[in-house]
Amino acid sequence: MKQQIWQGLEQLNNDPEFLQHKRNEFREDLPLTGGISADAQTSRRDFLKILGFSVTAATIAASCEIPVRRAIPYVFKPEEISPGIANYYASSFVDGSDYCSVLVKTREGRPIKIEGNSLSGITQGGTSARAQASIISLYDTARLRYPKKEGKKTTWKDIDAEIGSKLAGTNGTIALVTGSILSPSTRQAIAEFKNKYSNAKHIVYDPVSKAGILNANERNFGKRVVPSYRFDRAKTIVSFGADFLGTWVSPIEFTKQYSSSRKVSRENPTMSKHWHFESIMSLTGANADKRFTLLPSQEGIAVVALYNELAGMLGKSALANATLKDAEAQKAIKQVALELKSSMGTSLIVSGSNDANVQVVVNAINGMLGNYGNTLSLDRVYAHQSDDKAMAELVAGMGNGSVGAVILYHVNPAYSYPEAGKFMDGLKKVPVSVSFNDREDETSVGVKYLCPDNHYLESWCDAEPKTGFYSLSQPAISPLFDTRQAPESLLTWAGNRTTFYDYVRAYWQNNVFGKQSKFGNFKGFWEAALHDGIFEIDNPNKTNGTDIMRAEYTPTIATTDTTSIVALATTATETIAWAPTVSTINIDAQGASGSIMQAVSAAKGIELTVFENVVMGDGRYANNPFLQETPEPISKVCWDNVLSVSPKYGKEQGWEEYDVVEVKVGGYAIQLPVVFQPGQAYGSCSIALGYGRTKAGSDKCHVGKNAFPFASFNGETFDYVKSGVTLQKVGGRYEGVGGYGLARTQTHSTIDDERFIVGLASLESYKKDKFAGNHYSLEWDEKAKEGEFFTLYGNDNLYGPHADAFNRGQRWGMAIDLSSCTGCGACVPACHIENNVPVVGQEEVARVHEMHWMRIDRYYLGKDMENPEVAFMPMMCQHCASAPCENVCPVAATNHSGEGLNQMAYNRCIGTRYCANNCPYKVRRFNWFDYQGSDSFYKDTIFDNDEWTTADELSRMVLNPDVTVRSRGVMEKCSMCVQRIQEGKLAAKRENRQMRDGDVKSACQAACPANAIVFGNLNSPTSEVSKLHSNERNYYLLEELHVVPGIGYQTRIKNREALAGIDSYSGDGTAHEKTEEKHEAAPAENGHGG
Amino acid sequence: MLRSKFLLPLFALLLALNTLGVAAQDPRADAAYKEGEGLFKAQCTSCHAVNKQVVGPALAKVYERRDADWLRSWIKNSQAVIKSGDPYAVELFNKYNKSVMTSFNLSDKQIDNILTYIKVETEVPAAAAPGAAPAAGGAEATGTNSNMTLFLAIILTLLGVVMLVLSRLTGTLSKLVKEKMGQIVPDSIPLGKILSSKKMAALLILSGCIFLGYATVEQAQMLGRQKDYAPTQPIKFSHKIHAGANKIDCQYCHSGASKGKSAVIPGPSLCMNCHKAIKEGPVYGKTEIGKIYAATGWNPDSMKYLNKTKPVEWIRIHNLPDHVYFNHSQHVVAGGVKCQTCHGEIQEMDVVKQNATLGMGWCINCHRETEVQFKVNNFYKDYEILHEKLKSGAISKVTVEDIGGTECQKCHY
Repeated sequence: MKQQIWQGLEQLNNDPEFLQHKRNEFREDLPLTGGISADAQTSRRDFLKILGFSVTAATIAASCEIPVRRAIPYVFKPEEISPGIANYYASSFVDGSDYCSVLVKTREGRPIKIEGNSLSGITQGGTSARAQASIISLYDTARLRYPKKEGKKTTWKDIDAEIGSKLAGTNGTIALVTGSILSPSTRQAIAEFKNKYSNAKHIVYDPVSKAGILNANERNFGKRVVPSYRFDRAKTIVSFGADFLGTWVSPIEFTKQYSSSRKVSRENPTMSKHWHFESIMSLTGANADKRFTLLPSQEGIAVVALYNELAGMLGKSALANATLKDAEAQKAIKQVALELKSSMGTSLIVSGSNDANVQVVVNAINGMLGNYGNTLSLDRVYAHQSDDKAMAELVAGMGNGSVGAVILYHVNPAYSYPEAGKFMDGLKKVPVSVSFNDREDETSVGVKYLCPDNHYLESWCDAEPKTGFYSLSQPAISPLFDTRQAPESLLTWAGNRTTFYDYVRAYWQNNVFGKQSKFGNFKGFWEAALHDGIFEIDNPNKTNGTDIMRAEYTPTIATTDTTSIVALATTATETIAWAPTVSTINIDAQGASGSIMQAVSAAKGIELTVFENVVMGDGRYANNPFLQETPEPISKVCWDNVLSVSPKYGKEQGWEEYDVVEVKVGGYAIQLPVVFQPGQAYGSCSIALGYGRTKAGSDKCHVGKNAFPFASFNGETFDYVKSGVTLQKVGGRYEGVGGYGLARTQTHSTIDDERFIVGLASLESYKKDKFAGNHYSLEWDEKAKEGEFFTLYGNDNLYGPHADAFNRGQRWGMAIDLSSCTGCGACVPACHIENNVPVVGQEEVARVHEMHWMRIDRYYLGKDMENPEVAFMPMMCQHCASAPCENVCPVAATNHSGEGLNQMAYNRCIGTRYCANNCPYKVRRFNWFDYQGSDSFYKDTIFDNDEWTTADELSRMVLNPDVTVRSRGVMEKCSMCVQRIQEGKLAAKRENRQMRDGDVKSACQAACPANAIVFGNLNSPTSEVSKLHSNERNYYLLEELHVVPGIGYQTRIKNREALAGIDSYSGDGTAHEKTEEKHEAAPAENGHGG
Repeated sequence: MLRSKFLLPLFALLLALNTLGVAAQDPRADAAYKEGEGLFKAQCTSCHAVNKQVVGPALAKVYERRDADWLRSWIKNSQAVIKSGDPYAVELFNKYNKSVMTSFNLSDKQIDNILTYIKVETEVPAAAAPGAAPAAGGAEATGTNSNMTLFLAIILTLLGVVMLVLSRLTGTLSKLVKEKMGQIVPDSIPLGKILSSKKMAALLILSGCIFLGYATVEQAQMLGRQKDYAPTQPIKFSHKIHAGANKIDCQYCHSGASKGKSAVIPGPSLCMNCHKAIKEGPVYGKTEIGKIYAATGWNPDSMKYLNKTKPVEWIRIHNLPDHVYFNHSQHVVAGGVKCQTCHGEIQEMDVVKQNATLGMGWCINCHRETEVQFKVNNFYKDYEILHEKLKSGAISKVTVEDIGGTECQKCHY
């Protein structure tokens, strides 16, 4: 039976155009037109001319002398720098609401890569796509290079004097508008600034606010905080539209927690159960065990309905009567309530709503279940402090002239504030305006003084992302430009002339040093904290009698840093057996539920949600091409935002996918290509925020349309949901740049869907049959043993033609747990940056020229187009032992190494592209153009290619010096980070020891926040990867082709009832009964780990 | 009979003594000496030599001038000894321009070993440098060789001439004989006609083409290669003086060679370790050393840095293309390859020149021939099959190629 699996609707519907493309690796025939070779129509005469020119040029070039190259050593070499050897510095990536503890890899003083810091109790070594790509912003050409006054260059001395006197002279309010501030030192600096200027006011404004949660907690507990959550402790997770794996509150932390409680094995077949109710198909919803689509307005009702069900079961009084429109969802709520009742104290209910009323009911449910103190606590998460009301008041104040000065610190209200026009009008009336933003963005146009801030990799700073968890940032490079840290500017204007380094250090001496007892002198403490990048207080909550924060984390030493690491927190090795102590809290949600029901009754017509997506965030990263080109995990759209509607709705309207549709709410309308998104609630639509920037930097990055004006202020918080939306088709198919349409990668590399692709099983079936979802693998194992295969090398054994290679030294392989992978995409930019993989731009992606070595295939399973099952499958070169690509290369540029790597010699490649045509996994990439300036002439000369955003000198500073920058016309693909392998081997040789498991981590593995990827030596029976390869959940993709891949996938297990038609694949039905018996008897022989 | 009876034991005794003598005669085989030698070369040679004054005094007979305790405390912390007011120490310090001797974190035993080394080097005159004799022999051999070639060439030329004369002679004679016998003999075709014939032209063109093709390929391969490249450097630094005569360890300056990718060209600040004291060179006097002072901003009169630095722009001799990954420590540490293997007899070069082509063929050849430190380094324990084969005698050695050293992605990634 064929597995019902599809990547896009075109595939499901067998669109003829799609079917034609599916068979071809390359969509376009030669010669390519457009792009660099603009309308090239080469005649015979042209050919001869070019030939003549080339020969002459080659002759002249050959007769030139070899250019003299210089080697210029440091006059006084800094002690820590050795040319050719990387240094790692612990630091913290903090930008807006994003926080990640990181290690910065620098070579010859240049930061070139971000790694996670595994010492951190919060991010535990995980990273996100944004954290990975943040290094690109350091080398952003659009950054401001010096302070400016009214558009003219000035000096810090002059600007300080002028701003100082202007601030002192103003009578109106001095408004300091910032995002959430994680840094305690900066907060102190702001306090100092406010001391100096009594009329100063600090307004926290996050473009995507969590004020709903803050206000609800203020109402219920008198504390205006976003709580901290423990998803790893929750056996039952219920989310109402909270995308906690993608964008909500602290996604890296939550992904670590979530995936740790969902590692299934034969010995321990338990996992948390995750229910999800939402209107848009979010990353988290895609990972849920049970997902239901609801209209945005119904989400509030669902929360109330769940409260009522539980209240009924627990003997409490119900709230206002609430019934969902969708009968199936209503039924599910009952089931959820039953399961929650049986997991009191070990469940967690979260909601993504920014309506305080909904959050109050959520609080009440968590309280009723006794979750406080177990799975969530009122420790503060500092990343979300937005005060929407204060911001609205400020804008009003600016309009009536009561504001004397505005200082903007990394906020861009002219783009992100819903009523941007009102803000800009107000700004004109403010006599003194200052911006710390790092570029001349939409807001800075109306600002008088630009005082650009450093990039975080150039700064000294600290952070307290959560109560008791401290984190330090140290510069990994001197400021590239004449910029200054924003808090230092504030201090200067407050009359304090200390550098921010001294300031942070003094803050730690006075406020943090005393919180530990391990170090007697501050210098030792400071150096250890700086080395580790973090300082975490043992059980910050101990005084309250609970141990909820640190207890079970056991951080390991960062593998990238070989020097000894002093873990400061003494609990690091302590593991406290945790059992919930259930104490229920009564929260009155009566009033809140009334307001919810009232609001729901006002909802009418089509509903629109504007949301932050996983890659682009609130738009601050718009000029980061690596993020723009990381496909949005669900829609797989790059470089653009779209209007998502449900397939059913779209068809009813008579639209085709990618038709241009105008979205109109009130007075604001934008035109966007429409995408039929399975899982989008019928009768609703959604648009991603963060697009439609107009002054972010490069014009190539000004893509999509701005959806912030659809949000509005409702008197208490910003509202990201709208009803009464009008949608109207205004044009034909979306043209995109150069007429190539939407840059959407979902079906760019379709693996033959006639075959078995994603192993998926329910936990229920897995408990009964450990090969559930994986009978396929058994079948082919058996056939391989019977010698049924015939390859180019003749009949071979199980290990293919490279048999002798597998019994000596190392054979590298990878195991990918589909059950853990959340599809977040952190690995994609990590791979790009590690391996100098170029970014190609919107037009090129639309032409299927994207260069991703690593892509995440998102599959829909089942026939339900409105709410299908979703599976993610990281896909890269499979390093086949009997590789089809190797056989067809006429120049042997791709061949197999004795260590199991399918190697690619770029300088031998002549670009026939036969290999890509012969690759069943479609993972080979061709350099159609010179994207990174590898063999170009200098700027502004012939063959100039600086139209690519990454070909200039500054952007090229991020390139990894250990990896060749590929030129035009060669093939490339995943090398399993061979430079890291070689580095690991050399380290072992130098230390005169055998290699250890985990010595080498591939870039994707290191970046993964879900620990889904394991890399290692398949020849060693004790390595984690070979254990996983012999796991009963392991299978090789397209095993029937017998290409003998080096990458094994472990089936995805979902905690739900058996999935009809998806769950278990059966080849010919009879064979595996028998094989299974065999394998029961000898389970160790299942895999072919070797 | 009696005589022989007497002589035999005597002879035996002498023989035994002789053997003992041999043992006693080779103090360089001693472990203490060897360790001392290693330490001396790594730590001391930048400032001291045994029989010659460098930055510091010649160390010959230093063990007679001072006792071991004094020397130990001096080596560990010379400044402390000076501060203690020791008259000898103060005098020594003043005599050598008040240049401070680095404090060494060495154990007493290590210092004793260094002293053993110095003692041996002082007392037992070094046997003629082991390399010298064969080198001379080699030169002689090559001399004979080239003489022989010349001789052979002369003989061959002579023989050729004789053959030509003889063939002409027989040709003329047989023509005369045939004419006498009444046969009509056609005139021989003149050389000019042969040379201008179509066949000859075709032959010439063909051979020309072959030659040009060969030359093109040969030269194309040499494009970008620069064997024997020996540019004039901004400072006329002589490896012959530093590495050859003063025997400074290569890695004292090129410290990166054992650590990573780049061997590192030392910065002028490293030169200053010695050249604060050595202000004049044997060949160029003050000019070349003055350039180091200019680069580091050192004022040799006031003995102070002026904070005006100017980097030295050396001309890079050994260049690899960007698509080649080369790591010094892989070769120097893991492979145990000597610097000279690739860089030539660098200690004899006044001006450094590129010794090898640095072409891929050259790399690959070495990888095919060079044996891996297979049994020494624990890293290779993973190669179980090869170990078994070695044990069973199926193979006699493991070369770099055997463990994948000629695969593309060992150097290209």
